[in-house]
Amino acid sequence: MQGWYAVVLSFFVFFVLVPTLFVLSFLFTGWGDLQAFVFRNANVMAQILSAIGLSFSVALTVTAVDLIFGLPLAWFIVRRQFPGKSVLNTLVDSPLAVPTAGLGFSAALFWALNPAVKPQGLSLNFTNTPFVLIMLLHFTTTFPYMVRSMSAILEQIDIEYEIAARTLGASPLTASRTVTLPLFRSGIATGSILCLAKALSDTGGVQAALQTANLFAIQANSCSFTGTPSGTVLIGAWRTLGKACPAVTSQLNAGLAFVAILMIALSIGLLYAVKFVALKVRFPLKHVWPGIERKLSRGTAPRGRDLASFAFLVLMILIPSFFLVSFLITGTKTLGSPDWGTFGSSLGFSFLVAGLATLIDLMFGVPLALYITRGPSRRFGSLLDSLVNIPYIVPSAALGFSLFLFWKPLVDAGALPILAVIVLAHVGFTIPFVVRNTVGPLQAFRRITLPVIKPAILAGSIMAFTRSVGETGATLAVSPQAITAPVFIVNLLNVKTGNFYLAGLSVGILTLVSAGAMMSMRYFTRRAR
Amino acid sequence: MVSLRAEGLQKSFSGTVALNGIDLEVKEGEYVVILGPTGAGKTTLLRTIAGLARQDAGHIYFDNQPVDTLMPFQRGVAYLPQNYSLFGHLTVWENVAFGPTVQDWNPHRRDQIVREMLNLVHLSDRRDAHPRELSGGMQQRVALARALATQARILLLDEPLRALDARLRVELRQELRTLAKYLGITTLHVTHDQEEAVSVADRIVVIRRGKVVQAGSPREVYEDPSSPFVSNFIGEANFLEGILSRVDNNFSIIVLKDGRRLMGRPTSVPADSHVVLGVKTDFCEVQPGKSDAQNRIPGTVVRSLFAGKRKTLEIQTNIGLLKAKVPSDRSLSEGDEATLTFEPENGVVYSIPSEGLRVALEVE
Repeated sequence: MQGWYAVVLSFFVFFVLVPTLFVLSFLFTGWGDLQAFVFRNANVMAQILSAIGLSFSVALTVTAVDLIFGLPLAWFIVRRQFPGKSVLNTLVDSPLAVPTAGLGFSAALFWALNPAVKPQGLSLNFTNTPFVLIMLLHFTTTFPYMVRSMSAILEQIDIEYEIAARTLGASPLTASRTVTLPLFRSGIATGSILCLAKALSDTGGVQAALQTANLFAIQANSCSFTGTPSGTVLIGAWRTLGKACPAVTSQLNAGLAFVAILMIALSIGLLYAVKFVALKVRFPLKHVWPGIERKLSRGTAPRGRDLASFAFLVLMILIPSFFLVSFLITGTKTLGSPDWGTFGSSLGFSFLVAGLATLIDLMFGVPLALYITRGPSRRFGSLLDSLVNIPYIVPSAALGFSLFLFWKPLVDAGALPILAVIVLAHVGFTIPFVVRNTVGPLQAFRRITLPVIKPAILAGSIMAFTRSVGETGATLAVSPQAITAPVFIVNLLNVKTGNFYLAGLSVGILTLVSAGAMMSMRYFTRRAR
Repeated sequence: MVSLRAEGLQKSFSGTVALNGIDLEVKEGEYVVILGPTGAGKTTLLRTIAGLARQDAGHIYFDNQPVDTLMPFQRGVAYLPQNYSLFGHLTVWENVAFGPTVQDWNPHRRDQIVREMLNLVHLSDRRDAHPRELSGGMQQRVALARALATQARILLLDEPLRALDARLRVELRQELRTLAKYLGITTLHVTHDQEEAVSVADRIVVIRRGKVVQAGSPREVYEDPSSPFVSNFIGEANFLEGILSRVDNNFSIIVLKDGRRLMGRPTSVPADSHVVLGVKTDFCEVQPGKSDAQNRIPGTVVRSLFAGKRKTLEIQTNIGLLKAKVPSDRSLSEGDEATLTFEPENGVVYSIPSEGLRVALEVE
C-alpha cells in the first residue's frame, strides 16, 4: 500500500502538477525572449492584454449574472416539490451534453448580428461585440455548473433552520437570507469557482462563436489573425500559426508563454480571492428589514424572481444552446465534398484520448482520493486536496501549452509520442472530477467497500470522459496538428474554407454520445442512493 | 394563557396518512405530553398546530378562535424543533433576539426581554458564546429561550430531550416542566419516551397511527390502559389469552388454554368472549418454588436482568415466557423454579384485538 501511494503521489506531482506549472519557469529561462518579443513589442503586448482582459472581464461578469439567476433556480429546484422536477433538472443539465465548440456555434447563430450562415427564422441578430457575444455564450457553458453545485449544497442544508426562523416570525425572505444564506457560503464559493474556471478555460466555444460571427479568423498564409480573441483562443491561434510559419515560432512561443503565465497566475489568484470573499468576508447578513422583507416575500416579488430565473434559463441558456437544431433543419444542406476520412478519424481520436485519459484518471485518481481522506497525515491530505484543484482552475489551453513545453525535449527526441502529451493534458483537467467525486463518499462512509464508492467513481469518470471529449484548447495548445472532433469542428467553422453544415452534424453526433454518457451517469448516481 | 383545541385533524403526505382524525383538547396552562411510537404522527401534529404544515381536514382553535389560516408567527406559538436548529453563525444573545428582531420590536423592549429570557435559563454569562461552544443542555436552553422570547402563548416541544444523554435528560425534563409552570404557558410536549411522559405531564395523550388511542393523567394511562397497546407501551405487560368465563362486580375469571383459571378486574366485555388479560410486569411478583394456587403460574427462571434496585426475571411457563420486575434482592436466579403471581385488581381484561395481539402491540 505504502509503495502504491508513493507511485500515485509522484505521478500526481511529476506528471500533473509540475508540468501544469512548468511554463512559469519560462520567466527565468526565457527572460530574454520575453523582453525581446513581448515587453518591447507594443503590438504583441496590446494583443495579450486585450485578450486577457476580455477573458477575465467576461468570466467575472458571467459568474455574477449566473449567481443572480442561478440562486433562485437552485432554491426552487431543491425546496419545492412539483411534478416535472426531474424534467427541469435534465433541462438545466442539458447544455453540458453539447461540446463547447458546438455551444459557441449554436449561440453565435442565435445572437450574432451577422452570422456566417443564416438559419431560417428565430435568429436574433443581436450583437457583434466580442465581449457581449462571449458573455452570452458563457451563460450556456457555465449556468448548469452554477445551478448544479449550488443545489447540491443547498440539498445538504437542513430546512429545519428556516422552519425555526419562520416560527420566530421571520418572513420567508428574511429566513432564507439571514439563516440559510450564511450556511450557504461554500455553495456560492464552489459554484463561482467552477463557473470562473469553465469560462476562463473555454477555447473551442469562444473560437467557434467568434468565427461563426465573423469576428475572428486565422490567416495562416499571412501568419496573422484578424479580430479580438480571448486569452485561450489567442493561445490556440498562436500555436496554429507557429506551425504554419516556422520563421516566427520562437517569437510566438515567447508570447504564448507570457499569456499562459498570466492566465495561470491570475486564475489561481482568482481562485483564492473568490474563496476568501465567499467564505471570510463579512456581509451585512445579520441586519433585518422586517417590513420590506415581508412585503418582498409575498405576491408579485417572489413570483417575479422565479419567473425571471425561468426566463433566463429558457432565453439565455436553452434556446441558444440548442438553436443549432434549427440550422440543421432549415439551413442549406450543402455538404460539398466533405472530408469524411478526417471526420471519422477525428471522432476516433477524441474517444481514444478521452478513454485513455479517463483510464489514467481512474488508476491514479481513486488512490489519490483515498490518500486525501485516509492518508497518514490529515494536513498533507488537505494540502493535496487543494493542489488537485489547480490543474482544474488553470485554463486548459494554458495547461496544454505548459505541458507542451515540459515534454518538448522528449517529444523532439522522438522518445514520447505527441498522443501521450495530449492524454496527459486531458488527465490534468479531468482528474479532479474523479478525485472530487470519490472523496465525497469516502468521507461519508467509515467502512469503504467497492460497492459503496463504485457509483461515485463511475460518475466521476463519466464526467471526466465527456469533458475530455468536448475539449478544444488543451489539445490545440499541445499540438495544432492533432485533430480531435472539437478541433475538427472549429476548423470547419471558417467562412472561406469551412463547411458549417458538416460542423453542425459533427456537433450533433458528439452531443448524442455525451448525452448517452450523462444518462448512464444519472443512472449510476441514482442507484447509489 | 390560552387553551387549545383540535378537531378531526387529517393530514397525509403523498399517500401516507400521518394524522387520521385527531381530536385534542388542552386547557389553559396545562402541560400535555403527546406520547407515541416513532412514525405515529406526533411531529406532524405539532407542526400542524404551529402552522408549519396545513391540515387536509379539521380545525385548530386557540381560545376558541380558529387559527387555521394564520401564518406560524401570527399564531403566537413557540416551537422548539428536535435538534434545536440554533443559528450557528449567531451568538447566544443574537439567537434569542432573533424573534423580536424579525418582528421589528423596539430595541429597548427587545433587549429587555432577551435579558429576561437569558436569566430565566441561567445563560446570562454566556451571551456572547456561539452555540457550538455550549454543551447540549445549554444549547437546549438557548433554543428554549429563543422560542420563548417571542412572548408566545403556546409552547410546542418536539422531542426536546432527544439529543441529550440519559442523565441530563432526567434532570432537564423537570426543569422544562418547572419553567413552563412558572411562566404559566400552555405546553404541548412530544415524545416517544414513556418514562419522560409519565414524569412531566399533567395529562398524556397517547397517539398511534395518526389517532388518539387514550388520553388521561399519567396515573390513568399507566394503571388503567384502554388497550393492550397502551398497556405495553407505557411500562411493559404480560398478555395471557383465554376465554372469559365469568364476570361480576368484583372480578372476572379467565380460563387459559391449559385450563388454568386466573382472576382479573371486572370488565364490560361479555362473558364467553375470547379475551386477553394484560398484567404490567411492575405488578407481578415472583415466589420461589412451584405453586398452582390462585393467580399463580409456575415455571422456571430463564433470565435475570439486573437494573439497579429492581431486576427483570423472565420465567418460562407452559403458557409462554412471562416477565416480572421485582426487587433485586429476591434470591432467584437462572435455572431456579419459580412462580409468578399478581393481584386480581392488576389484571385488565380486553377483547382480543381483531387484527391479532401481535399486530396490536406493534411499535412501528
